[in-house]
Amino acid sequence: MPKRTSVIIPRENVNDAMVTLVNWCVENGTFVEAEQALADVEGSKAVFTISAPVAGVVQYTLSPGQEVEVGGVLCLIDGNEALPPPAEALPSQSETTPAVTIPVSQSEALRPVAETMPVLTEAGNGITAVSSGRRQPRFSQKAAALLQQHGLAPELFMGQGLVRVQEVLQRLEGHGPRTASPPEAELSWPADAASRPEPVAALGVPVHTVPLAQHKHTERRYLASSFSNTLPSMVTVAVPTRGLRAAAAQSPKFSGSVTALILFEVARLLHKYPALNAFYARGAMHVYEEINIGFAVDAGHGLKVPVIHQADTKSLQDIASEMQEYLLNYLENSLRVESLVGGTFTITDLSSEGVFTFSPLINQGQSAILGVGGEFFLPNSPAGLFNLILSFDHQLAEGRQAAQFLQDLAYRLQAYSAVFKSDMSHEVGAEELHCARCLASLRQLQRLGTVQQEEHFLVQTVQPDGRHEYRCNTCLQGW
Amino acid sequence: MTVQQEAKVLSDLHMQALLIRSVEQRLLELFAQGKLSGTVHTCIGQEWSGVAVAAALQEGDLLFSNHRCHGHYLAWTNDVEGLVAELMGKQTGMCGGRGGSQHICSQGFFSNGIQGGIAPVAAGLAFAQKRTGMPHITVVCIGDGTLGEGVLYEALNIAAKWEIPLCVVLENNLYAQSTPQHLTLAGDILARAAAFGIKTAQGNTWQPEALLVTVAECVAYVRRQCVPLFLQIDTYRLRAHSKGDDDRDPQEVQAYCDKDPLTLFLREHDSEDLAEVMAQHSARIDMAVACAEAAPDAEAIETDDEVPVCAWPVWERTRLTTSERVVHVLHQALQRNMRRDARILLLGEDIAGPYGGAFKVTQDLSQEFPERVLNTPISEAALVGLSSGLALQGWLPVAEIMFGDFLTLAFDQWLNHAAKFRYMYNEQVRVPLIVRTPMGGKRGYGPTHSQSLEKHFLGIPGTRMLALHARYDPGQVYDALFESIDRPTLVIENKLLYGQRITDDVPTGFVLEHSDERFPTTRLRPEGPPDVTILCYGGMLTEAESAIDQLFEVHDLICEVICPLQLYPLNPWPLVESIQRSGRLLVVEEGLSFAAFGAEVIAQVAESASGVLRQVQRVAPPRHPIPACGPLEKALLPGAPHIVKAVVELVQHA
Repeated sequence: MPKRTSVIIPRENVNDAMVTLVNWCVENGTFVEAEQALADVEGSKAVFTISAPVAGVVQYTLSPGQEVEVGGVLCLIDGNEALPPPAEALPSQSETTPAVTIPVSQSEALRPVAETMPVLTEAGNGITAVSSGRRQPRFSQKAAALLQQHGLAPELFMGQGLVRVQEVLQRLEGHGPRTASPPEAELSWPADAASRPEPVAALGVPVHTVPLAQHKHTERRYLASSFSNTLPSMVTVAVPTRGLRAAAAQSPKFSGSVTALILFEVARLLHKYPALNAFYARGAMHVYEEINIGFAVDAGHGLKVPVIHQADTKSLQDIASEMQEYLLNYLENSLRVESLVGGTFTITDLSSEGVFTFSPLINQGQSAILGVGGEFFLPNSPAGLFNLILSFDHQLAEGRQAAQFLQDLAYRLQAYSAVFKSDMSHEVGAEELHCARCLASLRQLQRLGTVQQEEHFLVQTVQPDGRHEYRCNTCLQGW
Repeated sequence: MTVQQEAKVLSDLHMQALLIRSVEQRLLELFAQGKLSGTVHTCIGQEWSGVAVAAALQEGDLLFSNHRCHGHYLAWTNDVEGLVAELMGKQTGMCGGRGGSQHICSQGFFSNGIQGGIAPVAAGLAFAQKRTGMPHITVVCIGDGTLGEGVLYEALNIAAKWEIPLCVVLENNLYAQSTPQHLTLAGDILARAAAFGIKTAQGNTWQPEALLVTVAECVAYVRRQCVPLFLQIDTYRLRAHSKGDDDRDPQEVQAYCDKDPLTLFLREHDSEDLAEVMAQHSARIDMAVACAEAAPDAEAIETDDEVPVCAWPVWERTRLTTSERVVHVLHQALQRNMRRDARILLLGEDIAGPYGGAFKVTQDLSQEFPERVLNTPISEAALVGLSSGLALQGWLPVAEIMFGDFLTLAFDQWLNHAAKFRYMYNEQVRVPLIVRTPMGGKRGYGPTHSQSLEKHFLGIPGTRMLALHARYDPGQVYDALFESIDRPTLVIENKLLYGQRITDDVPTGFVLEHSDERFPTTRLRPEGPPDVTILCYGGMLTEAESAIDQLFEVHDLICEVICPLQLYPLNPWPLVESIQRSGRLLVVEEGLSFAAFGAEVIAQVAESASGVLRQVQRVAPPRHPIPACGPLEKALLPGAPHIVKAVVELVQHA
């Protein structure tokens, strides 16, 4: 018998049942060495490369764009002792079944499934899968018991076929390095699926359908799940940019990245606001014991959120360089799946898009997301501002707490400009009175008042630590 | 015919007999020179019986002989060249060097080296001739030693009862190998045949002219009356049974030599003409030997079985649209195929209606096809042999063996006749024979009615073995089989399967699929990564299914089941594909495991897919006969609990 090896699609991500072949790295029927790259394959979170497990002649029938099941066969490698088999010995495509390496489960997924009745497992353990037109999972007895014990919904495992204790544990695990994965919730609707209205298209208008890319589906699922599991609310605080960006640009310490700075500060601040580093489930707040902050990147290769794990333990330098590395990986499409999982808080920075404000959506398994807006200016004022927007889950926090978080953050961010106040002395007189928050000098306020025909003045405040500070009336009163 | 013409005919026949003797003598020389494969059983002294038989037969008749067949063959075909080359093992031999001295096939002549076993096959040939309506007959040549074999009497019984035009020619040379007849033969030879109501006749080779007349009359009788006849030809072989094993009293032998008709003929007709003819014979034989020596040896082949295509299977979801009982599905399959193909015949015990078979598979088919559904006597060997003969003649016989345990009674017919004809006759014939039989226990039938004896029939080259199960339509199996049958095929029908319904209702979380082979492999694929691959077949699939349900439900273990239909030849690739995912194999069989299906599969997997198999175990019954006590039997034969336990242990043992 010839030595024939199947190259199996590895399971890179607990959530992936299918992956898409992006491209082949080798020609069909050529000899490959062990460890040689065979193909690039895209999962829901990342593209990864599959290498040859042994040397030999590679034989494949898949085309780029086709989907393969995780655990299925990518291609065959015929060992060095045997000659490659003649063409007719390879599995050939029949008219009725898909190409050989697309297993039946994929065609099964495409076929409409008539299983819409709720399913009880034979042990009658009371787990009822909600009818939603997709295949219901089957739970082993121990898995079902674990489900009830932790109050997880069966719908969490939709499309998974057979669910054992280990699959349930994987969902539950929030501990442990790098294996933690926030619990996933599929879109869940009230039991009476019939009451959910179908979207209605505009009457009489022709339509052509564009299927959504796989990553968009994943994104949709994640966001929809948190949307339905949280009560999102939003608070915005304006922060002066003056000095901050200049400091960032000039100082090698920041490596030119204000987002790194924000991430660094948020990481530490979250110790004080655990409700923003948690998730709500079944009547309780589940606080993460790590602070892993993801930052959204969208620069031509789709929206991805790489995660800085345990950001509160890392230096600003480390964070900045890690972010830069992620950016490079993103641009090269070589982000690994480990980089994308385990996030407990997210920062999304649209400042480069010139956005004034926006409504970021809380990511699945989290309770808050910080949006960073672009710099804007008050009329006739050189003092720039940018908005920090916090979307938060009202089940765990309130507006006041969210505002305090943002104020604290703003304060810390501004403290950096004070470090370099000496560098900017040419702009602001060292002795001149100025607003401690927005750095507007008294002279500038006077000018502003003249232009706007309104009163602008400074108010002296005494801080809790006894320091005397000035605040302009705008910063004092808010918008 | 005029007197001269008759004289000429007789003279020619003498020459024929002389030629036979010359060839046999030369073969003995060649043997001494070490140029022959195996041994030779010469008919020196008995030549006239073959000559007389061949002279009486017509075109379209068939002749089936035994190990001492050269004379019969040469008289019938005059193929000196083919015979010599065959015995020298050459490709130019009439069977390509594969059959040799005892296993000859050419131009309506057959021989095999199993005494008695040839009788029912010959009866089958004759029965086939009768069914065509042509006035052809079959002659089968046996010896007095053959009278010890039981299957001969089975054949005589059926031949008489079914009025088969079979002419049995018994060459009574008073010895069976080294044993004189008076030591082993009880009673009277002809009385044996007469006991079956068969007409008998007698002749001898010392009076050739009389013998010619006798044989002609016998053959004419069989042809005219279309019934069997038993002819005893007294004769004596002047040489050893085979070679160098003659312990007979030399004086006795000499006495027969003295009255040998050919020796006498030569003495009386010592003339130039005769000498010239003898010289021609000699020259011809020389030439035959020389040609044979120059020819290449018989060709080596890898196997005469089908070789499975070395490729991963394509899997398709199995949709079973009926939910009928298997027994009904089988009945319908037989019915529709019999309607479609007039060559299909059913033979078996108690298969005709209204009884309709021990398990009611054949039911009322005898009413729709009265001439094609045949109740046989309780003669498993003759039943299978007769079916082989029918198959040789182009019929598609389906022989039902009532219980698989009884298949052993027909084992010789299966192994030494049906399975071998195609290869040893050098692809000149086909045996499209189906033997179907129920196997399996759990009905409390006891040690001899409950067995699963597949392992004794596995691996016989030239055959195929299928085992029906509940998750692939058995009707489709038979459809495919009838469409493509070209070799003896044993179909195992599990007894418990008969009452089961065919549905695709498998445990939740598992997908029922089958491969793209002609007789597909069934797979129960789990929707999750498998921990163990379970291999089973036939009735064990139901148990395995129940087990995988429990294993997931209670033990959090995911198993994939591979259940082939075709046990032999075996395609290991569907199984290897599964083991690559799981790394563990559990084989479940209802029969004893020593040197059985599981052992073979594991060996093949170990050979062909080294490294993927980390752990392996077999589940099989304990090593003793199956007891009749119902509950004990159920506890001993593998069931879902045994499988569950074995899988749990297998995984824990890591």
